[in-house]
Amino acid sequence: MTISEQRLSNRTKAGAGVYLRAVFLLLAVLPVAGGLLYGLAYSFGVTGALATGFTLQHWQEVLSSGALLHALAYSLYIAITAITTATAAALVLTLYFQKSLRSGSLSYFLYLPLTIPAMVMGFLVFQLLTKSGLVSRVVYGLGWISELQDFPSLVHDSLGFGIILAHVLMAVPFLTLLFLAIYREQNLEQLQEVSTNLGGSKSYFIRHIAIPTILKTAAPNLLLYFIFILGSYEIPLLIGSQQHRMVSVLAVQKFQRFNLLDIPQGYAISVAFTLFVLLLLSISFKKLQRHG
Amino acid sequence: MGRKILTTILASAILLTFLFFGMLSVGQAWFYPGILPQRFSLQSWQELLVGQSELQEGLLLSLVLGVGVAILSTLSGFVISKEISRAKYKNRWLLLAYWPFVLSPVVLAILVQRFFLLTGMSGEVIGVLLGQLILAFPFAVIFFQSFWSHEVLQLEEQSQTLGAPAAYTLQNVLLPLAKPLLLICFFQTFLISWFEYGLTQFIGLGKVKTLTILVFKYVNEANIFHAALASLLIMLPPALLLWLNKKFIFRGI
Repeated sequence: MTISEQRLSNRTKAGAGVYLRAVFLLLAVLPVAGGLLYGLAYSFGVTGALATGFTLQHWQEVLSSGALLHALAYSLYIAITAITTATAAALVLTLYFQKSLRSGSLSYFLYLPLTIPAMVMGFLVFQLLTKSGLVSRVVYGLGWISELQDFPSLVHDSLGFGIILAHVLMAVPFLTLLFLAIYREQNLEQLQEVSTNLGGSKSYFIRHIAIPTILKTAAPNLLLYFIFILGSYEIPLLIGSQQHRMVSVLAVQKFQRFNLLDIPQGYAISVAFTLFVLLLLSISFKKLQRHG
Repeated sequence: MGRKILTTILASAILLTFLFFGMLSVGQAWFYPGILPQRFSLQSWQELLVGQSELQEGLLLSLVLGVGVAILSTLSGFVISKEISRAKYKNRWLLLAYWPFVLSPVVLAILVQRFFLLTGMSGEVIGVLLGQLILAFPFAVIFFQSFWSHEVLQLEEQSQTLGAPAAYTLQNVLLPLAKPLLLICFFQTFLISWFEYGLTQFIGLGKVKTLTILVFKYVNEANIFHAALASLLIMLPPALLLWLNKKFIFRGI
C-alpha cells in the first residue's frame, strides 16, 4: 500500500467512525437526553397540550403534596430492605454451601430463577401469598387456620412484604452467582488456607476476610441492583398496596388519569426521580472510587 | 446432613415454581381450600398448539420482536463497540451507554413516549422494537468492550498490513474470534426483549400484546390459568437456553 493510499484509507476510516459515533448517540444517548429535556420542558409548562409558558406550579404541586417524597421514601425502604436481605441470604449460600453450588443439583437449579421476569415473579408471589393462595390452602389443610380470613395479608400490605419477598427471590440467585464468581476470582479459598495456617478460625476468616472482600468487590453491582429495585414497576403494580406507592407506579398513575393537568406532574416526578438516581450514582461511585 | 436437607429443600422450591405454573396451566377450577385444581383440561395448551389463540399470537410476536431486537442490537453493537473502544475518551462514551440502565424502564418509556407518538410509531410493532433497542443496543456496546482488546485490534491491523481486504479480515479473523461472544450477546439481548414490560406497554399502548403484556392482562382479568400458561411460555425458552449453556443467561455487563 502506498503512502497516499494509506492516507486515503485512514481518512475513510475516520469518516466512517464519525458516522458510527453518530449512530451510537442517536440510539443510546438521544432518546434518554431528549426525553429528559422534553420532560423537563413539559413539567415547567413550556410545552404540552395545556402549556401556558414557564411556570413552577407543577413542581410546587408535586413537592407540596408530599406524594413524591412519600413514594421516594417508600421506594428507598423497599429497596434497602430487599437488597440487605438478599445480600445476607446470598452470603450465607456462598460461604456455607460452596460444594452444593459448584457440583451438586443446586449448581444447575440456582440458575433457573434467573429465567423468571419481574412480572411473572409478582404473579407467582401473589398466587402463593394471597389470602386464597397456595400457602393459605396448605396452612388450612394443616388445620392452622379455620377460615380464609385468618390468613394474614402478605400481599397488597402497607409494609410491602410481598414486594420485598418478590425482589429477594429474584435477587438471591443473581447475587449468589456473583459472590461465587468473586470468591473464585479473589482466591478466597487459598486465603482461607493461609488464615487457618496462621491460627485463624473459620468464623474469623468469614467475618474479617471473606465478607469484607466480597462486599467491597460487589459494591458497584449491589448499587446498580439497588437502583433497579428503587425504580421497579411490575412487582409493586401487581402486589403493592393502594396506600403506599413506589415512585414508578406513582409516575405512571399521573399519566393514566383523565385529568390532563396531572401529566406535567407525571413528567416532574419522572425527571425528579431520574435526577435523584443520577445524583445517588455519582455520589456513590465517587465514594467507591475513593475507598477502592 | 442439615446442609443436604436445606440444599434439597432449595432445589425443590425452585423446581416447584415451574410445577406450580404447570399445574395451573392445565387447571380449570381452583376453589378454596383445595390444594389442587378441581378440574384439569389441556384446552389452553391445545388452543396454543393447534388453534388460533391470543396466546399463540403473543408467543409469535414475542419471538419476532426478540429475534429482531437481538439481531439488530448484536450486529450494530459489535460494529459500534469497536469504534467506542478506540475512542480518545472511551470511558466517557461508555458512561453514556450506561444511561438507559440507570432509569427504570417505565420512567424511560414515559420520557420517550412523545417521540413515538409524533412519529406515529406508538401502538406499532416497529415502535416497540425501536423502544426495546434503546435498552438492548447500549447493552451490546458495553458487552463487546471486553472483545476489542489490544491483541484483537493488533491482529486485525496485522491482517490488513499483510494485504487482506477489510471484508476478508472480518470474515476470517474477527468473526471466528468473536463467535462465542456474538452468540451470548444474541441470546442476552433476546432475553432483554423477551422479559420487557414497561417500554412495551407504554410504547405499544397495550396494542402490541407480547407475552409479558398478556400475563398482566390475564392477571387483571383474574384468569390465573391463562396467566400461568403465559408465564410458563416466558420461562421455558430461557430455561432451555440455560440447559444448553449457563453462559447464555448469566454473563452480562
